[in-house]
Amino acid sequence: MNIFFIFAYMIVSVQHITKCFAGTKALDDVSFEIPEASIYGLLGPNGAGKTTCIRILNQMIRPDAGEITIDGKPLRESDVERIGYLPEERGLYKKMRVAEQILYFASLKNMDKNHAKQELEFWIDKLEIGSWRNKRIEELSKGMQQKVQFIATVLHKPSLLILDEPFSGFDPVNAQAIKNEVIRLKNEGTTILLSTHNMNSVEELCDRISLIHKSKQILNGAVGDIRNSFAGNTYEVAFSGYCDTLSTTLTPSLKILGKQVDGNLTKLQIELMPQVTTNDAIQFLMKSGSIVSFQQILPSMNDIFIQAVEQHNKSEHGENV
Amino acid sequence: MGKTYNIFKREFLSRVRNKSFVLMTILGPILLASMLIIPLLIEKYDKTREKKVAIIDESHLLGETIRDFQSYTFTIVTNATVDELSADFANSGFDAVLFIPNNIYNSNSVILYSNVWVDDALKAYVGYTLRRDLEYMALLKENVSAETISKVTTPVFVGVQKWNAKGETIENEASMEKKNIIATCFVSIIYIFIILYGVLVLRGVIEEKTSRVVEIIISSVKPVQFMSGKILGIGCVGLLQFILWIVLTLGLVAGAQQILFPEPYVPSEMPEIAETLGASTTPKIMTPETSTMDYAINLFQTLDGVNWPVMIGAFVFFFIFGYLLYASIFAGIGAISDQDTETQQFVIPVTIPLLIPFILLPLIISDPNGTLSVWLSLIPFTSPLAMMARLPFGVPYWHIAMSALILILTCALFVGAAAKLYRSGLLLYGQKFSLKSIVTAFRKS
Repeated sequence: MNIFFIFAYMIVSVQHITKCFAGTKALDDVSFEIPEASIYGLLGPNGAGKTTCIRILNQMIRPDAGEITIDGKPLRESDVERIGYLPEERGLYKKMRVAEQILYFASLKNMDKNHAKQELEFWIDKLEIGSWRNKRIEELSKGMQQKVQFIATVLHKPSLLILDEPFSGFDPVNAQAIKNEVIRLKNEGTTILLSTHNMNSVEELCDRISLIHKSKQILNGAVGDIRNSFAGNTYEVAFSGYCDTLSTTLTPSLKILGKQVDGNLTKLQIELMPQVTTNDAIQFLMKSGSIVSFQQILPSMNDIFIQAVEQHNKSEHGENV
Repeated sequence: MGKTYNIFKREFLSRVRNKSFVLMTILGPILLASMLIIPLLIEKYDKTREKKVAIIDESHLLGETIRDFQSYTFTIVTNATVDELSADFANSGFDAVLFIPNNIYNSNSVILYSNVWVDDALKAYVGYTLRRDLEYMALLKENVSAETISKVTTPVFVGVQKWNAKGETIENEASMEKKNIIATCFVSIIYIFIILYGVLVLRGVIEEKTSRVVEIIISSVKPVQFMSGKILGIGCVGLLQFILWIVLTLGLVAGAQQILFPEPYVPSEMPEIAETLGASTTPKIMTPETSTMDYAINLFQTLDGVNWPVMIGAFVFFFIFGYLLYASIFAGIGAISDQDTETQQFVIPVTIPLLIPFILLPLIISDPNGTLSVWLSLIPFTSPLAMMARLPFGVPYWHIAMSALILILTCALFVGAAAKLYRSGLLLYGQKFSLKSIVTAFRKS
């Protein structure tokens, strides 16, 4: 968009972070790297250590071990001014007025007052909150407060945006508006760390993710890669019109998991037996009817999340026995 | 520094613009001024309205010795008895009846009848006059000469003068009394200010915790920056309110005096007593009363032996640093506790160290350079009050310097600790306030 943004690209690297609270580990050797101008998902069940990780990035607490670098340099105190943080527990002064409140938070990020006012106008327009700019926070609905909080987070044009459950409390229309803004900010070069339980938005927005469970990192990588690696030997075949499932049931090389008739199409979900290639399967299925499509079924992030957590629990349990 | 200023500005403006601030700033002086003016008004009313006292004197002698006193005028009534007067008291034109019975020489008692409350001053005056007369007459009966009697009954005036180390007189009793008043005033002002605005800091911190603003603040500024901005901001709110209170109160009192007492008020003098019986000395029963305002002005004009620059300078210093110390303690409490109600109970234990010099004030004033006074003025939790109590009586400079130094260092330590707790208090949501939680809070940061 402008030169400022080009130079503001930020690469965040978290290396072997460990943090203990009163003897219990909140984070155990967590490492990940957030590439510039991308959205990185930080996932995990409640109490996994996500908030601790975010607070370390915000320099609210210091890690016991490990290091965080920004563009290759260790995190400095002044870096907080380049970070925008939307905490899960939103916080606004109830008695303050909307515009006043946003400008105050910007001033705490050392933003120039005139520049802040200019940006405020932009966001007020963008998120259509002009009519309540002089209202007190306590007079606003929860969704309105969330919008104010979002603007307060992004007003100072942070290079790194940390969003903790940014879409909670919004109706679908406003959630989409915020989503669009997040995507726009990413396209303009902002590096974004997104912590959420909403797996649909992870699939929609995130380029890479990290899954933290019980203080340990159990998954890490690009969303596509992770989904592929979790994909089993399951496929969906669509036939035009009728298909003969009798012969398929008899073959030992594949197993039918489900069947739907959708208008003129018949869809079969199948699982290939080990050593059976997709080509073998297609050759075999061709006899049952005319194939329209054949594609791998990729697991949803939701399934992956549950599967990964359960696997981890099991293996941990196994270790203990 | 820029951020600290921004925080300071918000803390200050958000409170000054608040309705309750405006209300308190207006109501305070009205309350204070009326406390000063109402006694004056009552006094004026009492002075202007003459109260008539009828004397029914069966001794036919003692009644003569009672002269008009303050707003009371005495009339000897010979043509009526007590019963006759009481029968039509409302129309008699008298406010009270003094009955001196025939047997007064044996019973030593008289009776004041009135349908209104009898002033203590009147009672004291009548009692004193008659006692003197009776004594006088008893002595005359024993053939003691009038001259001897006047010698015997001469009261002794005890003058008090204060010496310095070289034995030179530095002040008299009246000046000592005034110093007591000054010490009490300064100590009370600091005490009230610390409690009032320290609690405001506590409230502010708790508000940030319950509204979860704290997380955003801590992710933007250093806790020390935040704490200093906050405490200073609220301190300035308090200072502004205090100055406004003083200015408005003085303005209101001065205005009220202009309207209510356009002529300078001359206090009534005591009448000569027992002249008829030949007694020559006139001891004072009551000191002449002056109005509160005149007294206050008088207080500052005539006081000797007080080093005003040091006094004012020290007052400002101990005022500010005393507030800073307690504000940071209150902020620390706010940082590690959750609910307002739960926290209120910790306000009292915290203010006990502040209460000690306040309660011991008479002791400190009576011995400003004694061991207790010196120690209390060195311990930082009590020094702001104890030092102010000692100052009007003269304190060695090195005591002031040492006390100030200790206070500054303690303040720095406590503001830092409060900031630390503010950050780590964030990690203690939902936990009960306890000594353990304080320790964990420190360890977590």
